[in-house]
Amino acid sequence: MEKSEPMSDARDPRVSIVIAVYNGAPTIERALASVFAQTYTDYEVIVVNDGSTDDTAAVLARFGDRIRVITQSNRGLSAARNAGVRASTGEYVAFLDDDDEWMPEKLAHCVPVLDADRDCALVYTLALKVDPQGRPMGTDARPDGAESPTMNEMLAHPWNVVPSQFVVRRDVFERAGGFHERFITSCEDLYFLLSAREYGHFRCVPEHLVRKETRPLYPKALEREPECDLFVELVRERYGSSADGLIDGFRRSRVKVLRHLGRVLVDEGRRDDARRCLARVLHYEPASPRAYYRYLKTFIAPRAPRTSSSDRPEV
Amino acid sequence: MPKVSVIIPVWNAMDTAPRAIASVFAQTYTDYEVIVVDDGSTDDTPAMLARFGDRIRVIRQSNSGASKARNTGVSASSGEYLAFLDDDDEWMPDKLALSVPVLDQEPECALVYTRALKVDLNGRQIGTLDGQAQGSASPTMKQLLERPWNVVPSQFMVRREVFERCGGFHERLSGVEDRYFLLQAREHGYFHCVADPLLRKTSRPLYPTVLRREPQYDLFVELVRARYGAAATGLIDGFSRDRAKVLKQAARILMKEGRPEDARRCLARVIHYEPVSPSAYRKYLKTFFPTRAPRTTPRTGDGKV
Repeated sequence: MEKSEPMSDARDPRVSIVIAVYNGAPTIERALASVFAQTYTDYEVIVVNDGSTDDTAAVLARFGDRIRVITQSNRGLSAARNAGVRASTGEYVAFLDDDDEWMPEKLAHCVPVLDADRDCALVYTLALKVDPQGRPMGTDARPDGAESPTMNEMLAHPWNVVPSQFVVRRDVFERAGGFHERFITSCEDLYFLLSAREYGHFRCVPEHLVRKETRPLYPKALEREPECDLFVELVRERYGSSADGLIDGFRRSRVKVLRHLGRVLVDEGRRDDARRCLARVLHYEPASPRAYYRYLKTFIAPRAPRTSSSDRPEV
Repeated sequence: MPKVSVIIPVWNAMDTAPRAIASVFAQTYTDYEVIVVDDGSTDDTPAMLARFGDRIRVIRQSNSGASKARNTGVSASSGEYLAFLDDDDEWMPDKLALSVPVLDQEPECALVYTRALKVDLNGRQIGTLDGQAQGSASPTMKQLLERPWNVVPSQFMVRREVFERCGGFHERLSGVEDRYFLLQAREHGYFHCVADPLLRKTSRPLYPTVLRREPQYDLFVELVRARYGAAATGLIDGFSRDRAKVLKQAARILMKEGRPEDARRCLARVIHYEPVSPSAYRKYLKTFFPTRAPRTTPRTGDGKV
């Protein structure tokens, strides 16, 4: 073998890229292509097919031996990512969701940060929200608050970046216990970041190196409410009253999302769906007269339904 | 020297080209070079291309159309086989892996192409491109002159030698350069079809591209007539019929969208193709009396342009 060959089997790749996919046939190919377009090339790709019932398996097969595929029955996002990490060997672990894409320098800009700063547990980049045509929506997925939050700051306010944005040291991931497997579709990232912060600080690469496709908010936002409850319960158990700020802020942000969603659904003439969201707002704000007023209004709603749903919010 | 040169012309494609280029790097066949020709973009395309570092070679030219851009890319490349990819199309990972062995094993084959899926701007599949290559998967020269037959450059891979003998893509034929190129290429060898859909082609709204290209279509007819004479009558007739059909379709969509003036422009061109058709005149006149209320949500034609 010539010297110029990039890797030999003798050495483990430095970065393990773990992609959990569930019924992602229409998008997984783009996500994977964005990995192979990376300028940094010392990586392995593990795809965990989490019990997909669509053509995902066939799409993955086209990539031949460029990816390693683990197939499991559907157990949820957290369990799928953890299985992928267990099967991988890289010193650093990066995640990519099946409907996100990396820009070509994502790894090239993250890896040196972990190399240079031994106490850094996790490095993340900024993300750009794009529409299904790939056009930026003009809204940053930028975490509120500090770029590199302290543990106290993380317990005082909700702070989040999504897994497609970050690269974490394997030993930090393992000590943090991976993603909590009771989370099936959401909140696993919030909880993981808290655990990871216990083992080192976070650093930010202030560039938009992830393109995150937006999805309709309803019904997903409502379906994840039980996991939001679980998140609050686990945080309270682990951090006690020091996490009051985080929990209050988290609940306020849920109310904001659900209220907004209720308003948009009413405008669209989907009063039953709106009512489901506003009922959940009542759960968070049991003493708010306005919340009851909004809820009751869904039974009357005189407004004519809009024809266009173009202003539907996105997650 | 890489075996395959992948040539990608880009123009103001900062949102779509990263996906196109990434689909090349996702190929399971890896003995290739990537040449991207920036055809005078005025947006942030240069910065986007810079992100790929030395994994791609970028050539810039002032805006002169996809034909010229591809030819420029080919001149700068060195591979034995040439594959083309448009900036809003995507290959599936085994596109090259299934195309290369065909040219390797069949020296008489000038060009290999794959099937293609048609997707809308949101990436949803809305059909296939099979309709353009009807008749024979491997048409004879005679068949190519009897009726229109086309595959788009993102579908095919051609031997460099054949490409050069054809003189590349005709630079005044933007929008129909592929059809003329295929005729010439067929003079130097047969075509082979890989029956899998290995390309996703993004469909764009028909209007106004469909109308803007009419001068190139006239030139195409002129060139075909000059080169093949009466033998190409079937092709020319069929091509003109197809043009009229597409223009009518665009006009129909425009009328529904409440854009009678744009529809009229298309129908005036239909009359050029069908000067003795009463229905063409009737459709044209109807644009002066739009009855239907314009729709609130603009809908655009999803036909292939």
